[in-house]
Amino acid sequence: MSSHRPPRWARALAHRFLPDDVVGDLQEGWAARLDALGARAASRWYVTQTLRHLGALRSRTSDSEHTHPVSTRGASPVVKGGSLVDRTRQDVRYALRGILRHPVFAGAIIVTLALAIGVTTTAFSVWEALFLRSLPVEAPHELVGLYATSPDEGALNNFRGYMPISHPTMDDVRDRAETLSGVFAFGQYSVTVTTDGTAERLDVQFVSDDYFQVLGVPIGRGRAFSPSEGVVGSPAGVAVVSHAFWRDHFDAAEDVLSRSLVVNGRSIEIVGVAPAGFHGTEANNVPAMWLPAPLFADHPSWGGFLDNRSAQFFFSVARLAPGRTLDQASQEVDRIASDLAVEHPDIYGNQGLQLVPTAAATVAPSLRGTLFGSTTAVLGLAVVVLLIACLNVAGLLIVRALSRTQEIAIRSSVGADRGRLAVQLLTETTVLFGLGGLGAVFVSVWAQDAISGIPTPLLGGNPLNVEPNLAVVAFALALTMLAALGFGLAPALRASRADVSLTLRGGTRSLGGRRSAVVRNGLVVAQLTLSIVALVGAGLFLRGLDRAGTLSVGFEAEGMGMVSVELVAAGYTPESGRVYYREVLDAVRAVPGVQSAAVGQWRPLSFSALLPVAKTAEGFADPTVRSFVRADAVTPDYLETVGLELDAGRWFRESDGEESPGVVVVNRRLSESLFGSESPIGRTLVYGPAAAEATVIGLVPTGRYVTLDEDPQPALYAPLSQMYVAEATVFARARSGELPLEAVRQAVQSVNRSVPVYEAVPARDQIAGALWNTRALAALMTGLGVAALLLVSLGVYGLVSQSVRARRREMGLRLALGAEPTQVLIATVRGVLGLVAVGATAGVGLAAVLSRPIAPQLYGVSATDPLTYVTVVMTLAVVALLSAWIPARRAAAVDPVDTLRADG
Amino acid sequence: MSRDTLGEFEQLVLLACLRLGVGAYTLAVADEISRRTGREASHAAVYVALRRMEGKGLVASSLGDTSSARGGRPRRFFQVLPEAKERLREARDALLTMWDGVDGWEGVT
Repeated sequence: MSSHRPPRWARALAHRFLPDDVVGDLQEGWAARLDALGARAASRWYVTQTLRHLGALRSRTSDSEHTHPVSTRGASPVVKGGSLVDRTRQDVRYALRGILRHPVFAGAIIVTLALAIGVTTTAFSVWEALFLRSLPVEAPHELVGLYATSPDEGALNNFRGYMPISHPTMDDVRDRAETLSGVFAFGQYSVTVTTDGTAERLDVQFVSDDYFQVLGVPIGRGRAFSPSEGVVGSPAGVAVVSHAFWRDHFDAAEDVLSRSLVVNGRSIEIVGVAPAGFHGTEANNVPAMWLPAPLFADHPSWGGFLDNRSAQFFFSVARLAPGRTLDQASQEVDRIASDLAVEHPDIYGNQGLQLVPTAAATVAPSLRGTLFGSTTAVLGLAVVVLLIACLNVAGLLIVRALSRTQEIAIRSSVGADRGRLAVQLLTETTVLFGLGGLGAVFVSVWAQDAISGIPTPLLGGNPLNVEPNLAVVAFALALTMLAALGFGLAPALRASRADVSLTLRGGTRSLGGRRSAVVRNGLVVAQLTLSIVALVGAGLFLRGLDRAGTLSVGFEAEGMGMVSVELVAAGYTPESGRVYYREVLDAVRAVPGVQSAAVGQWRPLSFSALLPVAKTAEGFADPTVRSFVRADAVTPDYLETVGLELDAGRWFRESDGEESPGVVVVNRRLSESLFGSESPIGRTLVYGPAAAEATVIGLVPTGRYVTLDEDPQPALYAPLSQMYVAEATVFARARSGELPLEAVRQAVQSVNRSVPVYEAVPARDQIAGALWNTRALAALMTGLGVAALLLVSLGVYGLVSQSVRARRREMGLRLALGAEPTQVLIATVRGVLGLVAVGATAGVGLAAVLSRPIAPQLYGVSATDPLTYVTVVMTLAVVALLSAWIPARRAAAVDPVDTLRADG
Repeated sequence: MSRDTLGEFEQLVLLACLRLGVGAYTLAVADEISRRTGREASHAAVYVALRRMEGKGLVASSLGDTSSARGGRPRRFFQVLPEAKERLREARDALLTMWDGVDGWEGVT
């Protein structure tokens, strides 16, 4: 039953536009009908009632506008014959009648506009959600992000210059800064949450106790954390759950505050529910709940995070004190960083601190660049398609205006006021565009609703939270008005100026007027130019996707699968955990068809925490060589199972145990950054928050660890026996062919039923996940490119059929004088080829300039990739010629006698 | 027809409210009308009628408690005010007066 829901789009409309009590009634009525009549009837009822309510809402609004004149009975100066309102009403009625008389023409314009404006608005709403929307908190402009800076390139690459900080650093800034009125830290982790006996992996945030107070987020139900809950060793296990978690897991129950849940095996009391619009401070980190940071100070992997200055696992946000500016605060934070560098040179020697405004961007700054480039590219392309659509609509309107010159000439000859005619034509245009705009709102509400349901790997698997809001509606409205003014006004005015005597005498002769032909040719050339831009954009992303698929990822995906486990919830200690891993590997190896199995801390191509590393054996004494690297704890079979290559030295053996000397394997990038061109084998380094000392025993090539387009990242591997982790992934490789993944999962689960086993996926899917962003972009861009191609072919078709119609007499004459039909055909098509040549030249130039910013997302494909450009121009030429061919054949088939007689 | 007369649908809505008493909210009213008259009463029509009558001072409304079955949204309960009861009585009296003495009409074509 819970799997049924009213149709998404209807629900979205109801939630957006109808009062709460009505939405509640609809929900309740739907549920009653679901039980009594079934899902289909219930949904039909829901949709009908929602639409009726919306209709009633509309008429209610317009009723209220007219309440006064009606109730004052006849005293209304507005509703009188010939008044402005009356005339406008008459014009609107006339326009609507016109639309009904030419449904295909009007429908084509309305649908084109609705789709084009709707798509552009949707693209804008995504852009707005990522880069414009303020956080729903008190005075969001006062919030600043606090990040560590480091000259070390390895670290910079992974966080693009915005590094997390340690909890003690946050404490120091909070205690010392006078320009900041509050500072809090948050770290997002996956944990096992058990509600009503069902365990699942969820992202949660461990936060400072004053998180909600500093943000100024009012807790709707219950309370925020109290200061005592922020102290290490505090026994209180408490959580503030997100509104979505409350809705989905507790069915929005009123008594949620008396319920409890289990997080990683520990009982947690729910003390509050966050308000509906609040999803944390970053769109890419949406937690299911917030927990006080000290809660897991005793966690085997995360323990010691809170008082370890090397454990840079927290992001931090601060609020500027009243009257203080970002500049003042930045200077003070710089001073604090210098002081810290003096006090703890081993930690802060090569690090600074920086403040970044957060108000205008809810995306973590490390992701902002990537997301900004791609979403802006999509928005830009959507605008290009919108322009093409508008040019197309303008072409249609001009043609229609021309075909109506006779009607207009007659009307003005019988005394219709020219200004009045112009207003009437403008009204028609406005009604058409208005309906298009209305359609666009529906398109974008539907699309936004769809987007909100798509989990986005780039946002940590969370859907992007797009909601139609004032900015988005204003954008759609502005687009519609701009389109109407820019592309509807001119045709309307032009038509109202029809020359009476000429038109009446010459019939449709004015259709072929030179000036209008130039205008229409111009419109088509502009469309051709813009569609080259759209198609090049799409083509480049497709080429990039193609290239990304061939990248070496550093592991052998075919025949490999992964299953993750989490040991804290089941109460494992490092000792019992090591035994557990051994038992799991034995169980997996016993699965028929499995060739080898291994345990590793991180999944390939997924986020992983970074640990500090330095080459000296004297702790982190020489801070200038301290790097942050991806450190992976693995078992000896990892090399063979994952398909890693070994460039030099040796891999781990079973004999590299807990008690034996520390050993690590480094990748080439780390080797170069620590030891230059010398061989790393036999050198020593220290790594991790505990500064464990280890000898380098092997060298592996640099793989791709987090994303496919990352710069080479430093990484090291340590034996799991020497670097215990409580959360890990079991890797299994098939003897041949497909891996029996479900059997592997069951084997892992069979070792201990109380250990949460999650995310059993083939390695192939992991790569697909990493490619999701590129693939989604390529799909979007291709969709827009195809739309552009379709629109431009319609434009060319319209132009040629129009000109063929206008030049019937000329064609007839030529044929009568002995021209071959093929010659007429060729002459017509040649004209189109000329337009394509002009449009393509301009388009290629424009595309080369506009595609430059997307180059970094193309996996090495050049933004001026010749193959793409040639293919695009050829495709466009073929499509344009085909679109011209059909109407041109009509020209060649003209019967000369008929045309000349009709004209005589 | 005087502006003050209740329309047939308004009468049905008000009578349903009176039948339901304190439990009169739009969904229940619409269901009550459908069940008793056998005619489908649209939720939107009932809601619009109730809100319009509220504007005329014929009914009063108040929001009830939220419930999870309704996605955390409240019910709006309607109460029939004396003015409406007076008009209902007038409407019934008018009809009964008109019916009085009309016999054998079913045979008339």
